[in-house]
Amino acid sequence: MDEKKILIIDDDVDITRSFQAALKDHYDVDTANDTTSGMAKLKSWKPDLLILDVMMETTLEGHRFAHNLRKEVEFADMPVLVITGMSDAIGVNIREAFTDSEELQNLYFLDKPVDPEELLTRVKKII
Amino acid sequence: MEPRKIKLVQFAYWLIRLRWLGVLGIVLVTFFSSRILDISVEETSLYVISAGFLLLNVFHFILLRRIVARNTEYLLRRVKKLINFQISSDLFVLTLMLHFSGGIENPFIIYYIFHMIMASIILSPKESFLQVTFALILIGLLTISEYSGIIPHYPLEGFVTHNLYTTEIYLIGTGIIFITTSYLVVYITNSIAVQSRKHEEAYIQANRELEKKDNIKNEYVLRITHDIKGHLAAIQSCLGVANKKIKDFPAGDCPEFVERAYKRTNILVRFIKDLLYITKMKLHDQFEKSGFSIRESVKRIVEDLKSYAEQKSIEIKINIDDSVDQICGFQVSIEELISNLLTNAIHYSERNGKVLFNVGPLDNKVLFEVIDEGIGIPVDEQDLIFDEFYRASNIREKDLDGTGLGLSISKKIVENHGGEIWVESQVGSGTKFSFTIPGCLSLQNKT
Repeated sequence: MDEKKILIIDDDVDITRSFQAALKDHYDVDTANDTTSGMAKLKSWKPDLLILDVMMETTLEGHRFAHNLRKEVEFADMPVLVITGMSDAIGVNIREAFTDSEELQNLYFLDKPVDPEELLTRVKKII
Repeated sequence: MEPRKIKLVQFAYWLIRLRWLGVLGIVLVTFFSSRILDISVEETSLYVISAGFLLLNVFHFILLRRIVARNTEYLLRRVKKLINFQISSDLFVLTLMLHFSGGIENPFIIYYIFHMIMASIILSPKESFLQVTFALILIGLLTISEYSGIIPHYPLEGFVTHNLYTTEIYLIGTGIIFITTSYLVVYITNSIAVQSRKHEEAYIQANRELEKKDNIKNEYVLRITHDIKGHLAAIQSCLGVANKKIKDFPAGDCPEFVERAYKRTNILVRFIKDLLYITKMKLHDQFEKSGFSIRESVKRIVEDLKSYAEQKSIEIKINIDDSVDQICGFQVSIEELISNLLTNAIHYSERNGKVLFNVGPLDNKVLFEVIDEGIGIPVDEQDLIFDEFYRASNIREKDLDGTGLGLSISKKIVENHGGEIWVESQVGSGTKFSFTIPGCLSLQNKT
């Protein structure tokens, strides 16, 4: 059986590395530390799941990224696991921001800090 | 609703409540004077006036409620108009009642003063002076009309025995005392009211300032929490992987993730140390300043940084002008400041680069310059780099190590010494940080 592919986008290398390590025994995992290279990898590699940090450097860069992603036909239905939990720091409710855009389909949320075991369990449920 | 509006509306309601009591008071006093004290009072007329007064108050009450319920932008003006109208009608009713109970001979004439005080508290000086003039015209008309027989006089027999209303000397004396008292009362009350209004405004303003500061503080705390949480999330994640691998022997990836967690813990510790340092500086603006040799300090700092510079093959060139030796200030802070800037210069330089450190006189200050040939700072971010937590965009991606506090600490140190700090930089070709510390003499003059 082919291994399913997961792409992790987060600007924090420690986070992407540890997430990768937590998942790599079960999935084919690649990482990107900024949205530009993330988008390039998405297009060329076509992962089955995207794990996305929504609040890169305290802007809503991840949110914007997910927004643009949904506009593209090939990624319109791709499952996205959104890593949140920093929202409280700037007073933005991420889930609400996403709900407003009516794109909740195939969108999952996980709060930082994320335990690797918990991450694996969650990913198994999604794909 | 704004506090001012609320206050005015409350005052209007209070006036209405007071008037219910007034109606009851008039009825009771009339009854008591007539039936028990056996004073000749026009009982029927006074009861009719009381009933009219009651109806008038009901009318005011309904009107006020409607104005408040609508709550338009004109609310303030409308309520003020209503209060003006209320006070004028009160004065009219009072004059009417006095007419049926002895006119100027009735000591209840003092009750005009109450209205004047109330008008002065809530209305503008102009409005209150108009109200008092209106009251004086009413009393004047009443007195003159009764004196000249145009309207009948109803004496309070059994209370005032002489026909005072035709005694000219009494009328003139009472008139003068009453007029001066009225205007003085309005003047004094008005001054006090204006003053207390000013105090109140100052108090509200101060409160607003405090709220703003409190918000800034809250945002600050959130920002700090966010940074700490970010580091902790990474540490937890790395340790989580290591922990799992240890359990699932063989522990292949352990060293990497323990090392990542360890490094991240170091950054977090430094972040918290910086945070404590900057908070301490904010709390204690004044340091005990003393003279110390800048040459000795620089020697020590460069010695400490030597191994780091050698790692990157960076040459540090020191150039201290002969005229500069003693610096006045808080030695530990200034050394921290120089060390901060030199460390940054090395950190953001390419291998085999050069870092220049100049110290020289500038007017009666000492000018320090730290010059590197490193990656530089984008022009539009040069104003922001001294802000707490700010990290320039071209270093954010490259290294995770910075806390975003180093330069704001540096700025705080310079400012605490009464100096200035600024930056000149070009992306790709280098950065020059300059700061001044006032010379020993000017410092001594200050203290």
